[in-house]
Amino acid sequence: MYNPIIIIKMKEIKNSLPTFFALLAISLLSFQAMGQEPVKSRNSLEYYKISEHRVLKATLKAKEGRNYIFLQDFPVEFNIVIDTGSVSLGSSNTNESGEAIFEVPDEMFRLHSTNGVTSFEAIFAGTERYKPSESSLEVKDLKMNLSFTQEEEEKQILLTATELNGDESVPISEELEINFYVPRTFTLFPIGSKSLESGKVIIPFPVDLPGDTLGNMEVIAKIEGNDTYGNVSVSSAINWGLAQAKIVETNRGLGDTNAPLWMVYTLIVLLSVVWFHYMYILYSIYLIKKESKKALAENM
Amino acid sequence: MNIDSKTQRTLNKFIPQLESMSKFGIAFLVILILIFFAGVYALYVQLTEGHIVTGMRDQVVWGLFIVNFIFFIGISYAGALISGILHLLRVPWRSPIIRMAEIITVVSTIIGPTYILLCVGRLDRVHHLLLFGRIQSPITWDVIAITTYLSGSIIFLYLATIRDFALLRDNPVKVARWRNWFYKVLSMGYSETPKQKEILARATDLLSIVIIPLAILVHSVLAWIFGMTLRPGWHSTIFAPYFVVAAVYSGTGVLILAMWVFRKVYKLESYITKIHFNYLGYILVMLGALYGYFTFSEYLTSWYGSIKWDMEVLHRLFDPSDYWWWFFFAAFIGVLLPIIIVTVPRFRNINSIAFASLIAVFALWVKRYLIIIPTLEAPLLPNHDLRPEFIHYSPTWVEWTLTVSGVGMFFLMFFLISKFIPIIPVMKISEEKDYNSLRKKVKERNLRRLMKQVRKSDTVNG
Repeated sequence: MYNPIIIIKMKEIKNSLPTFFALLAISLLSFQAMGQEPVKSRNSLEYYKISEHRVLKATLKAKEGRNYIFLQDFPVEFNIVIDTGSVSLGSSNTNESGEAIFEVPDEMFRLHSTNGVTSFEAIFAGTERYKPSESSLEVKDLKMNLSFTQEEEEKQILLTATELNGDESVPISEELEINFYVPRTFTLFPIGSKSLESGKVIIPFPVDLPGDTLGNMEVIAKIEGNDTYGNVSVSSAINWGLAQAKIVETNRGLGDTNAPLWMVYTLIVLLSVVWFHYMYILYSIYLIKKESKKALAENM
Repeated sequence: MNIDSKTQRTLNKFIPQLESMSKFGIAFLVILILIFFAGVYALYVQLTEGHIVTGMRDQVVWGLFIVNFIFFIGISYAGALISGILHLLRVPWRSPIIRMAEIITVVSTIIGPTYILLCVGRLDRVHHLLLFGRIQSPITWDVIAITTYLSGSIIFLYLATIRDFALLRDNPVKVARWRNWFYKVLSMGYSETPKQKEILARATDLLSIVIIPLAILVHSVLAWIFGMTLRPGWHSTIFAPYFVVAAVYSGTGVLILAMWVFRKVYKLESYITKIHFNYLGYILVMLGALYGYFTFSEYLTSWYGSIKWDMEVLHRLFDPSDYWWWFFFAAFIGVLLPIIIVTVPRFRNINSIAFASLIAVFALWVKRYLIIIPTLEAPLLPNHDLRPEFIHYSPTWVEWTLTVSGVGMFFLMFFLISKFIPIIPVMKISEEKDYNSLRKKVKERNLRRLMKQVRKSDTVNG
């Protein structure tokens, strides 16, 4: 025999089970949402010196699942680090590649560098979703000068590199690898690579490269990813390229606002012929009408 | 205008058509009007919600609307070429079918371009086409050519109807007064004087000469819109003649179907005879063979060239899971079946020729679909968006409704015109000889000549 009270109690419990599980699921989801940890962000800083412009590039990314994603549209603060703390340079937002690019003001660089050496830092303050991150680097200022020399028939590219030592510029003693390029339509075309010797490097100038219509071409020399100097590049123009004949673009007219004249004339002639016939036929119909009036008058 | 008893008899035969409408006719009219309003609703949906309600997307930018446009412009050839050529060659059996052909031309040339308006967005800017159209664009050529062609076709139909307007003016039918007034105005006072006859004949001859090259040009321009585009399956030098032949083929098919329908409905067996079906059937066979030749030539060249993108389109056409069965129908059944039906005497009769025409017309509609859609589904650049509706086109109910509505409009306009003017040129028919008795006489004469020859050879042989 079953106890009726127990049966009623069991029925009540059974009826309340769906509500219980629903509440449990909601609670679990809420806890999960509440307990979601911010994702760790990564911040890497690079230094570029392009001619006399100094540029900092911070790349911001975070690991979502198994993959790293670039963080877009987040502010990154750039500072110069000095003995007493840091001096703010400004901030820049990251683009779709997660890159925040900032050009260092020349006067700030001169003011806060010691013997040509400057420390930079990039700080991402973080958000609810991403943890803060920062990165720093120290670079030594390097000055490169690109010139062209010609001895008899041989044309050469001459590059000198100096750095500050106290108040004076001295040639670089380190054997840095210098890459030389010529810009082409879509990319940089490498023309040579050689290491510095006593702050100087000479490579032969390629004589078979096309320039513009006057033979002008640009030569770029680069130091890439160096731990001491960062990325440094310098460029200079020279008219030693092969002069190209001026490309005269033939005007087909089809892409222009105005149609080619032959097409306009053809269309006018064709349409005139057809519509002249139409007009003549409509005139014939008028003649039929006129003729009926004449016939009517004669019959009267 | 005095008319003889034969003309009066012929007119009497057609007067009931103009004066009254049978219950079947009223029901047909109501259905067509309902179909028309279904189209109006679909258009309302498209205008209010935008082209997103169609299956057209960034990649497949042309769909059923352009298919229908080419189809209707194609069948407009029935009047322009067939009636123009038959008139110029003074083909004796042309009279009963010539008006139907001309009406097909006018109606389909009105309906066809309507689909262009449905296809382009921003109808409020349509006048920009006239204000800012670039003459070097084939689209502008098309606008100019179709406008000119439609004008010529309307004048051609009118010229061929003036005499019947005069007939109806002088023999008033029991219809609304405005209709009799229209007959009077449109008859232009024509009273069959020798001078009027001469002017009318000269004008008709002249327009027949002009309308033939114009019709060829219109469809060539339409073909050039495709041929001048660097797309696989379109960029072909033979597209213009190919389109012209396909157009006349479908136009002839529609003319045969119109003959079959009106012969049944208006009981015109004594005017539209088996001879008309046979002769037009022969024309259909000739055009079908020519169309088959062009199709073979087009795809063979494309296949042999093995250009990557052309091959992609060909693979789609020959893939049984893609377009193969439609391609098989359009390129094989649509060509071979009409040829077999008409050329084999055992199969050749009025109903079978009408059936062959139906197959040809439907095959040509499918062919236009296959020209447009598979090419647009095979883009020259890789896709950035791989959503299925971007890669594969499938028409929506809005497009199907507007398609059916366009076909309904074709029937509606044809039906209403046949209620306004006799579907067969009464004056023309009345003045022609009785070709049935003439044929009988020619047969008898040939038989006599044959008998004479047989007798002569018997005498020579002793």
